[in-house]
This record gives sequence, structure tokens and C-alpha cells, in this order.
Amino acid sequence: MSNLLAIALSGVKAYSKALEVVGDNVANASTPGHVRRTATFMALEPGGAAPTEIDRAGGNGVLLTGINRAIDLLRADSLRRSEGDVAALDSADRWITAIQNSLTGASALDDPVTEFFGAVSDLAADPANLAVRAAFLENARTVADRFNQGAAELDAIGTSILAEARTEVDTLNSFTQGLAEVNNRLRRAQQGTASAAALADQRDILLAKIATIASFDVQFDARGQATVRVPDAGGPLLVQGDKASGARVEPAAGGGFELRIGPPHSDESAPLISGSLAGMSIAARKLDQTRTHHDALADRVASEFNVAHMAGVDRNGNSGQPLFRTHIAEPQAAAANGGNARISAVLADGVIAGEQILHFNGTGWTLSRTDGSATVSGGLPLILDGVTVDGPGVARNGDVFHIRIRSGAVGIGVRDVSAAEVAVAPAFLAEASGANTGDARVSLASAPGLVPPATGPFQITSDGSGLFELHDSTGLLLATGAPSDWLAGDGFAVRMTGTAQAGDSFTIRATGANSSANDNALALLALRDGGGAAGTWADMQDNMLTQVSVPLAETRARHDVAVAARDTAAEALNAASGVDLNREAAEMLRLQQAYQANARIIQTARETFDAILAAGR
Amino acid sequence: MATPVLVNSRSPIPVQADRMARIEDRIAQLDKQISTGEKFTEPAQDPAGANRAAALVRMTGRLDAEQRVIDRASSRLALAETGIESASEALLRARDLALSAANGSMDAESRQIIAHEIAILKSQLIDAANSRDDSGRFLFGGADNAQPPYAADPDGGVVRWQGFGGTAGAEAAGVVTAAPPGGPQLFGDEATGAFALLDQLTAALMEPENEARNLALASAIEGLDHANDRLILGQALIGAGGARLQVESNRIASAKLDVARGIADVRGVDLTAAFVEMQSLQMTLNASQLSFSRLFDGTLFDRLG
Repeated sequence: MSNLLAIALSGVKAYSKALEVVGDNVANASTPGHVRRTATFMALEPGGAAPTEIDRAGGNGVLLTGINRAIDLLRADSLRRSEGDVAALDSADRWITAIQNSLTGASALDDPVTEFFGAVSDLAADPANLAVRAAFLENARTVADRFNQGAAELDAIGTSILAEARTEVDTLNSFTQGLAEVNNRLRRAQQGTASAAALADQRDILLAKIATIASFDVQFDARGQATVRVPDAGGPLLVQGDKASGARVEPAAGGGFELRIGPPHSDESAPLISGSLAGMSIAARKLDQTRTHHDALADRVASEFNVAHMAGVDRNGNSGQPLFRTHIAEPQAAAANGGNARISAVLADGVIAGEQILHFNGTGWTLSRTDGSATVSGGLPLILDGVTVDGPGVARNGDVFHIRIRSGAVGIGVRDVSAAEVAVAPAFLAEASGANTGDARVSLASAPGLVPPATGPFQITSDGSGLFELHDSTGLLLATGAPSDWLAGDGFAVRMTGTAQAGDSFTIRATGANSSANDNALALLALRDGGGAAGTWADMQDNMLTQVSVPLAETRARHDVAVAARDTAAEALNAASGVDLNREAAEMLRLQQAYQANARIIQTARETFDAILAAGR
Repeated sequence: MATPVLVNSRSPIPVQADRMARIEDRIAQLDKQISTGEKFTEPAQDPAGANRAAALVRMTGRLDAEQRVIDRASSRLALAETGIESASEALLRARDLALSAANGSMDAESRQIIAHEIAILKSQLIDAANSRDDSGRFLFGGADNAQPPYAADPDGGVVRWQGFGGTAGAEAAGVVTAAPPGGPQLFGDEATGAFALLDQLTAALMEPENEARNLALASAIEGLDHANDRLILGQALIGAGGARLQVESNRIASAKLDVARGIADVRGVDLTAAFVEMQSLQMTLNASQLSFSRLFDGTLFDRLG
């Protein structure tokens, strides 16, 4: 009879514990990462009879052998992978959108370049007007400013991406450290206990978080310890047992980032396949490409415009000078500097210097070329190769500043050119004689001096036999040629087109001050439609933007698909491993009934025992 | 770091709510498109459309600039026409005076008065030839704006051409025939041009010999007719240039309309399609909300006594 009591007692104990498991599930029904627990029971083996006795007992009751997690490893792995894809596309979307905004927002080039050419057009329509010239210069400054702002925005995006990638890696390192600690506790935890299940939950939460940063392969041993390799089973070891390798992110040689795992000098590179770091790496590569396009466009605007501008003559009768500067000096403080000196560097107009290093030795400054071939020392300001460095603040012994010479969108700017110095007129002008009877015209081109010194104005005359002669004002014959031949003058070349009659002539002279000719403005305007393999400036702009907007559109489309896949994977895992209140309610009823039945057996045993006792009195 | 989706963090309730939120987002996007009339607000929403729209906007800017060039050239032509009219009036008055002087009844004193008026007319002609536009540029000086196109010698005698080459017009708008004619084309050369004719006329008036004077006056009158013909030809050229600019202006106005239509096509939202989609999404959203409230209306725990 006492055995019946013991059997019922084991049932009451087991089902009471199982009801606690259900209660725990219900309590954690909305706890992220809580995997549904199940209680497992085992019938206790009959026992207690002597070897020669027949054991007629029904059994020894029930034992709750373990609390298990209803985890579906395949679905959990599938969710982690899809989560990594979402994180990669999400970060790529955010950063490429930032790149796109830098090209279309306040730093957009489209409107200023269109207005710039509108100003050139106005200049051609009213070449001598100083107000129109001043407006043109303002438009040129706006174009240069937009380039500078765009470059600054792209630089800021680059800095921010790298900073965020490094923060992500710091987070990754804290997760891997945490995972190593969980591994260690799992090794010591008793299997099948609630604490082991809770540690496994923590492990899976950490793995899910790591998956949002970088893709990995994970293997579990018998005790549930995770071994993690990045990005797959063949990659470097990130976590094994209670050891976690340090990870860091560095700009990759081919653009983007690379993840390096292991101690410095013996670390290994791990490709970034998914996770936020992969998305940032994609965005960083796109940023590099955009910067290259942006700089190339700025260089092209400056060089083509300068060449055309220098071919003309300004209002003072002087040859056109470069309108845009193309380089600036940019100081960069070394990360280890201890002082608070704020160094500025100015590149002299027209100078293209090499990079330099500014060093403070505790008493004075030394500015030197990077190859050490030239050096100046003393107090600030210092000047070397046209670079002037100066600045307030106090430096500390050993402080170093790198003076970088930058071109492209950062370097472009409008030189100190006055409205009168805008070269609107051509270098040479031609005028037909009033006595001409043919309809011939002349074309002029600027060219270096090709003939012995000659004196203008020049005269090109048809001799009636189809040949033309070019003379200077002293009558010196400079060149002879047929129609469509370019005849070389002193600083110009001339060509006759159309039909000339004998004696038809044109006078050619260098353009003087206060000219109202617009030929050079028209040459500047022609840059709008000119272009080689790269197309026009507008083509380059469109190409630059398209190479951002198309991948961004694709990234967003893939993001939507990845989110849907992630949601599906999450629902599948939730169905297998999450807490379902209906199921828990049914389980509770089942266990409650079992518990009540065992309690009833105890009551029956007690009544039977009482009856036996009463019979014996 | 993005927050991962964990087991138990995605119960069907938030998943359904997310799906409904996405429908609401799309409805909000359609609402924005309808209210702004634009179907994309950033290039990534329609890269090809954005590219096309950018080209069309650039074209609008270019057409605006060309229109400004044409307006500027038209203004210069109008001022040039006024200058030529003034010059023509001076020459016609000189011719009338020459005809009067050719009348044998006019005495030397009267001819002296006429000569004095001719000098004034010459000054008027020089002023007309040196006309400027509203920005101070000489209209008939060609490419040289450093000095007036015409100036008399210090002794007040020969009027010399000081300009050079052709003047700027509406070349920036692709029109090469809309600049005022150069001075020599309008006023002839130093030896036989309008200024020389007035000098000849003055000399003829001073001629004491009747026959020689009459011959000289006849020659001057004939020359003045030719000089006036040059001015009439100049006016015709200006008229032709103005007409050409008007044609170009009309083309630009038409092109701007086409471009505006193109921009509307590329950027503009298809209102009918947008309304239909919005209606459909609202129906879907209502149905989702209704089924959600039925499906997730409590659990088994609520039924347990």
C-alpha cells in the first residue's frame, strides 16, 4: 500500500513540475528568444523484489527526466541567414540612399551647371556688359561650391560608414565574447535542466545578433557549445569553446571593407557575404565609384573650361587666364597628436605642389617634402613649394600633420578673376574688305607663333588663281595656300572658305581691349554639347547618378524580397519553437488532469490504508 | 546594429500588423503622389524616368537661356533700327536741302545757312552711327567697343571708321543673322560713304560758280540716294533678322510646351491608375483588419472555466 502512495507521489511531483514548465512557457509567451520548453517523462522501472521472487508490482511511478527546448535547428539557421540578408540590404539601402541624396540634394550639380551655361549664353549675347560677366563668375563659383559641398558630403559619408562599420565590429566582438562565456557555462550546466535551456536561449540570441553583422557557420557539440567560423565552415575561427577571436574591419584594397579575424599580424581575412558589414562594404565600394566619377567630372569641367578660357582675350586685351583652380592643400592631423594646434594650409595660386609633412619637435616646426628632398624649419607660418602652413593652438612634441594636395571635386574653385578678366573675345579678329565681291569667309584659330616675327595687322588676299597669300603689315609674305588650307600666322592660323574673287581680302588683327566680340564665349558655350567617349558634362552627371540610383532601386527590391523571406522563416520557426497559447492551454488541461488523477490515487491509498487499520482494531 | 527577429518575437499578431502597416505605407505613398502630382521623388524610384526628367529640365533651362539671348538680340535690333531711322532722316533732309540749293534763285547767304544745317545733319549722322544699346555697347562698331565706330578728324573734316569686324548677335541661340549690320555696310567707306557725301554737299554749297555748283549738287544728291539705299538695305536686313528671331522665339515657345508635356509624362502620376490602386488597397486593408480581429479574438485560456 505504501508503494501505491509512492507511485502517486511521483506522479504528483512530476506533473506539478510539468505544470511549472507550462506556466513558464505562458509567462514567456512574448519573451523574444524564449524557445518553448517541453517536459519529458520516464516510467520508473519496477524493482525491490528478491532475485527468486516474482515481481508482481505494476511499477514504481513516473520520473520527469528533463526539460527540453523545442528548437528546430534547420529553421533557426534559415532565419539567421535570411536575417543576415535583410541586415546587409538594409544597411546598403541606408548608405546608398545617403550617397544618392548627396548627388540630388543641396549639392546637386544639375541646376547650377545648367544655370552656368545659361550665364555663358548671356555672356555671348552681351559680351561687354560687366554685370553679365559678374553674374557669370557667380555662377562659376556656385558650380565650384557645389562640387566642394558634394565632395565634403561624400567624404562625410565615407567617414561615417567606416565609423559605423567599426562600431559594428566592436558590437560583434562583445557578442562573440558573450557567446564564449555562454559556451563556458553550457559546458558546466547539467543537461536537461531549466538552466541549460536558458543558456541555450542566450546562445541562440547571441547567434541571431551576430548573424545581423556577419554571416557565419555554426556547429554545436553535445553540450550545446557553439563553434563559429566566418563566413562559412572553411573560414577563420571566431568562437570555439570559451575562446573568442578578436575581429576588426579595415578598408579593402579593392574598395569596400574586409573583416580580419585573429590577433594582429596573424589575423586572417574573412569575406563579407551577408550581415550589416557586407551591406556597408557594398555601399563603401559604391561611394568610391561615385567619388571617382565626381572628381573626374570636376577635373573635366576645370580643365576644359580653363583651356577654352585661356584661348580668349579679356576686356583689358589680355590673354585669358585659367578660371578654375584645380588643387588645394589639406592638412590632416595624425591620430596620435597630443596638442591642440589647428593647422591650415594654403596653396599658392597656380602652384601644384607635392605632399608634405609638418612636424613639431617641442621647440619649432619643420615642413618637408615627403621624400625629404626639401625642408624648411622655424616658427609658423612656414612656406615650402608654394604651400603656406599656419594655425593657432599649442602643439606637443612629436605632433605631425600630413599636408595632402587634393584635386577633383575638393580642389576645384574659381580663381581670383575679376569681371573684366573674363575672356569673352577671341584672340584674333578678322574683317572683310568693303571692296570684296566674292562670298568668301575666314576662320581663325589660335596657334602658337609659327613664323618669324611679324607685324600685324595681317592681310589675307585671294590672288584669283585659287591661292591665298598671308602678309603682315610690312608686306612680308607669311604663307601661301589653297582654300581650306590653314595658313600659319604669328599666333594664329587662318583658313578661307567660300568663293573668293581676285583681290578679295581680309584684315586680321589681335583683339585689343574693350572688344565686344563673343567668339570665345561661344567656344565656352560649345563645351555644353562637346564630349568624347565620356559624352557631355550632362552625360557624365547622368551616368554618375544612374550608377547610384539603379543599384539602389535593385537593393530596395531585393530588400523587400529578403524581408518577406525573413518573415516566412520567422513564422516557420515560431510555429515550431515558439509559444502557442492555445497549445499551452491544452497541455495545461492534460497535465492538470494527470496531476488530479495522481492526487486521487493518494486519496484512495489513504482511504484503503485507513480501512485496513480499522479492520485490525 | 539591426535588431534581429528572434523566436517568439514574431508571433502572428505583429507579423499581421506589419503586413497591414505595409499596405498603409503604400496608401500613404499613393496619396503623396496624387497630392503632388509626381510619381517619384527620388531617382531610385524610377532611375530611367529620373534620367529623362533631368534631361528635360536641362532642356528647359537651355531654352530659357536661348530666349534671353533672342530677347537681347531683338532689343539690339530694335535700337539699331531706331539709329538707322535717325541716320536716314538726316540724309533725306540733306537731300531735300541739296534740291533746294540747286534752285538757281537761292543766294549765297541762303546756301551758307543750308551748309550750316548740313553740318548739324552730319553731327546727327555721326551720333546715329555711334548709337549704343542699353548696356552701352556700340550698335554699329562691330567687335570693337573701345572707341566710337565713327569719329571726325580733329579739324572736323573726314569721318573715319574706327570699328572692326562683325558684332555679336544671337549666335548663342543658334541664329547667326540677327546682329546689327556693321558701320561700313550702312554708311559706306570714307571716300564715298554718307559722311563724305555730306562733306561734298557742303563743298558744293560753297562753290561760287553756278554750273560747277549745280554739277556738284547733282552728284551729291545722287550719292545721297545711294547712301539712303544702303540704310534702307540695312533696315531690311534688320527686319529679316528680327523676323528670324521671331521664328526662333516661336520655336522656343513651342519646344518649351513640348518639354513641359514631356516632363509631365515622365514625372506625372497616372491619376486613374493611382486611384484604382488606392481603392483596391483600402479594400484589402479593411478585409485584413476584419479577419485579424476575428482570428485573434482570444485564446483557449479565455474559454477555460
